[in-house]
Amino acid sequence: MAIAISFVIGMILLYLFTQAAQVFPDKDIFEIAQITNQKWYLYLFLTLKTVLSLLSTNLVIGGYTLIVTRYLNPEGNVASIVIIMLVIVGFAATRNLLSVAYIVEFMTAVSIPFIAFIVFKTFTNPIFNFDSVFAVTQHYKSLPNLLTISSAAFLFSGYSHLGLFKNQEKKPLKFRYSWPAPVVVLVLLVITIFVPIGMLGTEASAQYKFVWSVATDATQMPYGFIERLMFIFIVVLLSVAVTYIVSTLSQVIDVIKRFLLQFKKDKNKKDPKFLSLYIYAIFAILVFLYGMNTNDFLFEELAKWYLMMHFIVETLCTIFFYIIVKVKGKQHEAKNS
Amino acid sequence: MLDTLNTLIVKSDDLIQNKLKNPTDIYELELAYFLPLCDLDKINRFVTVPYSRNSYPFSQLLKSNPNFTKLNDLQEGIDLLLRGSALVSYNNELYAFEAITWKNVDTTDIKTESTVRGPQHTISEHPLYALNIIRNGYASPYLKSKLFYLGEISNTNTYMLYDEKLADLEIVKKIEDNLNAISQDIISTPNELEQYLMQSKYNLFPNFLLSERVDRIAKALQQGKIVLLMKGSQFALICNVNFFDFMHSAEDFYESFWISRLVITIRYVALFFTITLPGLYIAILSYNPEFVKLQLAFNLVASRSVVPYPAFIEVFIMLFLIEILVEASIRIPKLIGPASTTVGGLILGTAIQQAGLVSSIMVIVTSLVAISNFVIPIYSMGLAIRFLKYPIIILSIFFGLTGVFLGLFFYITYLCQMRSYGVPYFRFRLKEKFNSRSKEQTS
Amino acid sequence: MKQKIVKSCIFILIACTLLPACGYKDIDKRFFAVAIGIDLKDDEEKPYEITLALAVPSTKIEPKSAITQIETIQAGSIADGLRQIKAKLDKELDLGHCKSIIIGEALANEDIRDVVYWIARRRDIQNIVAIAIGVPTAADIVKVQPDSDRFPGNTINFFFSRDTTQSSYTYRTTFTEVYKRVLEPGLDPIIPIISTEGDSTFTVNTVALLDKQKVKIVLTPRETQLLNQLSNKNNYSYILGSYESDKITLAINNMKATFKINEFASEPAVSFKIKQKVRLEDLPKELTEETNTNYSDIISQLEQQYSEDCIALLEKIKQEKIDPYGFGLRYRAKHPISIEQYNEVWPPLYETVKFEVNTKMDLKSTGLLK
Repeated sequence: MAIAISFVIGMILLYLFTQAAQVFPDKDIFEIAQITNQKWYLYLFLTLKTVLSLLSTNLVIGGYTLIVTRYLNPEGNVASIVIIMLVIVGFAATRNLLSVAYIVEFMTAVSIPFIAFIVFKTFTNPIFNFDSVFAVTQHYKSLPNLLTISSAAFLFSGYSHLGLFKNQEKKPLKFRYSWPAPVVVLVLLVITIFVPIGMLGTEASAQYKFVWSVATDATQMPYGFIERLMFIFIVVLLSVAVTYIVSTLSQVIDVIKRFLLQFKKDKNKKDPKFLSLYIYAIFAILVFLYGMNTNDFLFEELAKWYLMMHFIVETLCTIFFYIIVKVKGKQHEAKNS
Repeated sequence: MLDTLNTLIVKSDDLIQNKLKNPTDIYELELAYFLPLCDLDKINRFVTVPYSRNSYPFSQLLKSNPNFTKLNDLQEGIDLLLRGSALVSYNNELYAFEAITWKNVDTTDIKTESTVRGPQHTISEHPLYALNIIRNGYASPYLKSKLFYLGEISNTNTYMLYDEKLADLEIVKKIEDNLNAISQDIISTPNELEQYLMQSKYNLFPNFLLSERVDRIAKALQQGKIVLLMKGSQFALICNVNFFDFMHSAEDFYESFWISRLVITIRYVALFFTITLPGLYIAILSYNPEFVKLQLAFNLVASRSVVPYPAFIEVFIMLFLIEILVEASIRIPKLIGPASTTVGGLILGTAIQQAGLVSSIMVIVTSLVAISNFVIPIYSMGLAIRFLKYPIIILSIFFGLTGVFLGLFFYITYLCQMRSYGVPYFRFRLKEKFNSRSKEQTS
Repeated sequence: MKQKIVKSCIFILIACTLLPACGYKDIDKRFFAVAIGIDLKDDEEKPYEITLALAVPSTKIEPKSAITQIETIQAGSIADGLRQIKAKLDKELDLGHCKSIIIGEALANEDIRDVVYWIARRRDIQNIVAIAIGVPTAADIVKVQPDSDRFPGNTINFFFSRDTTQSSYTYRTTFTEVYKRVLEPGLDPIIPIISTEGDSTFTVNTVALLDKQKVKIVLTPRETQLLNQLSNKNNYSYILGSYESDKITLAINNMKATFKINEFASEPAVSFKIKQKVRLEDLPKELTEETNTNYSDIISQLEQQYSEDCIALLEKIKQEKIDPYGFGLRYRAKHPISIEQYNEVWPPLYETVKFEVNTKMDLKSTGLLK
């Protein structure tokens, strides 16, 4: 039930966002907020997004470190893994936004064949039992709570990245054909939830902590070079997780940088060269402290809070963005023309 | 005629336009020809000198010499102009005088970028002959050339070529400014020019492509890139390239579709192997032996059991030996050349494994890495890639598989943030539209 | 100047990460365990006996050249036992390549859940390990070193791996499946039984059916083959095996078995629909010498026999109150009920259920003779 609700919510928000984004085709969210003189939206957007992205970086890096120390490198030092991930992510996140867009494009294009292969391999496994899937879907009449809706809506909220990326190219982005996106995400959501249930059964999949790692481990590739499918899954997970952090962090760093540069006294002096690096250093220290002092239970609690906050913040931001653009944008155009 | 000509064709530095006026003749003679393409001797003997001597009425000469063809329209003349004729306008009549010369005979064989069936000769070291070959290969009215004199003392002729309709004019302006800002005394090779034009000294990947093949230069011009030719070197410098140009050899454009796609795929796979294979070897062997199948794991253990020191020292020894071998074979005199193959093959391969210094699988890995490196068609990119595997080895020693793939991600990030005069260096696009610049804030 | 400070800070930071290099263990300092056997002994304090087969690698890959080192220990819990074995070994114990885990017969008759939960919690044992019950004890199975072993653990793994010998009497199962069946209401575990005669080789041709805790019944080889055929796991002719009755043998090329539950009928029933494509393998000499044998009669007679055999097997399983085919799961899939409700409703329903089997055999060929 939560899947259906979140699908509808996702479509509505996407529609709102694309309509709002096309009003000023050559400006991104930051500049629109400045032009229409809505300082409060800027502060709201800035602080909430910063806190959220800090949390999400914590979770992704902490979670991936957990996976690495469980499966790949059991005696590894947690500090060194966290530091090397922070260093590499730091290099990537302090780049120009356009470069980050290219990185995301490339990593998506390279990961898609592997993900398709993993899904195909798990579906055609003889252990996969459709009855378990149907047994779970029988509970569709039960009402969802905020946690389930926000977890499902998290997948649909990728459009918000476009708010800052859309005017990086010379030709600004046109939002044609945006309707296939929620459909594709719905298919992915269904696959993500139901494949582990089919592979592991209804009770067992509730007991594992890292469900997908175990589900892919249950598949055997007897004719392949690598016998366990789980290693491919972990490598793909690494690339996708790092791309996600880089994308989120670079947007936040860019927004903070532009916000701080507003207060520059002398407009002609060159921008300080390492400003984005300093901003990132603050993030990195906080993430490192979290990574050293975390355990499994804190991870789960933080993840739940993060998903709920993310859902509320994203919905509010999109709705306010739409309102601002439609109302103030008309005033702004009337003033200019 | 010359004014209308300038509207139909771009004004370039090697298009010679002359207005001759002989006081004894009533009419003016207007002459236009491409200096690299035409035989100057012939033009002088049959057009300029008879006109200046005026011993015989020039209009008679025009009608009696079969090399002159009467043209009705300047449009046809542009075509003939690009193919080596000179346009002569006398008494409001337009003639084309054929004076083509083809300078492709005395050039050397291509050594660094060989193909099986393509052109086997380089462009020339003389810039005018080089322009001749290039203009014969890319006869477009929009091809523009500009002449620069670089170096305070050496005054080297440097031609900058680009297609005015296809190239991005902002990039052209930027390169011009950079060229004019060079204040060295002597510049004699395009390699030095590359050093001065590069925007940062510590690049991991090459920003300019040195090529001596005429088909690659013509393809580059067609894609809107800018080519620099220098006197004294048969290499041309292609600016604003991207990563994929380095991985495509000139053969891929004209060989059969299926095999060229297959070979390009093999090149990328070889690129992946040559960067990551030593790192993967160390990571799998020392951190995660359950990555591979059981029988292979036993093979690895058996071959590693003779070696007294850990895996990464073995890797460093073998890579060091291979680098010595590759460096030495550049400079070995040709008479001792076969000896290096013997040394490399027998001693480094077989004997070192039998002596128990290196495991047999390491020998296979190293030779695969070394050979995969030379699949890359352009030498400068091959050099750059040769360096890239060492940081990955260091990362894999300390972090295992995670380190290898994080290192790869770092290289991808580095590639994505490189810009070659504003053009993105590594843009994953299926269609080839690489000449458009993107709007950027300062990076 | 500032640039230099920033760059040197980054460099020092990166250098700090390179200092600890834990987890780096060269491959020749590891001992690979290829099989684990767990037995139950009578001792009160140390009930578990664990046998490990460790691979000693060598460069020769000929038959009879595989050397295996066997280690045994008795301990109070399995995890404790492994730790004590580590003290006996000079190299690091690596369970990443373990391919089969054998449970002793005594332990299987008692309670397998301890073993199963321990395996699930451990992260370095692959989920695709093969689980089997060893008769008479797991230690006997693990200690066997057949002559044809090229490297340690070869033979046991090949019995259970997918790309080698696949007999129709062997039921293969991986750990994921066992764990799923232990926990899932409506599905019960099936584990093959591996036995050895003497010191040379193994036999895997029977299967044990368990409820969530211990072994309930052991099937004969013929019933095992029937179970294998009905479970719809694979469609290769050499796995599906044959069916023999009254000296007429059919080889089954292709088979599809589906079942439906009719719980709303006056008599609740589970109906199986079986479609087979068969090939005649052996005919008694009287029928071969007859000039016009009526194959359709023979086939319908065999269909009848097959259905009756299936019903007999299913009734036998039902009597023990276990459910390896997942009828309960199918019931859960059709009705939105919670697990407590299911536990009240299904067992009485299952007891009264009637089995109907409808077999259709399609004779594709009669071999080379007519």
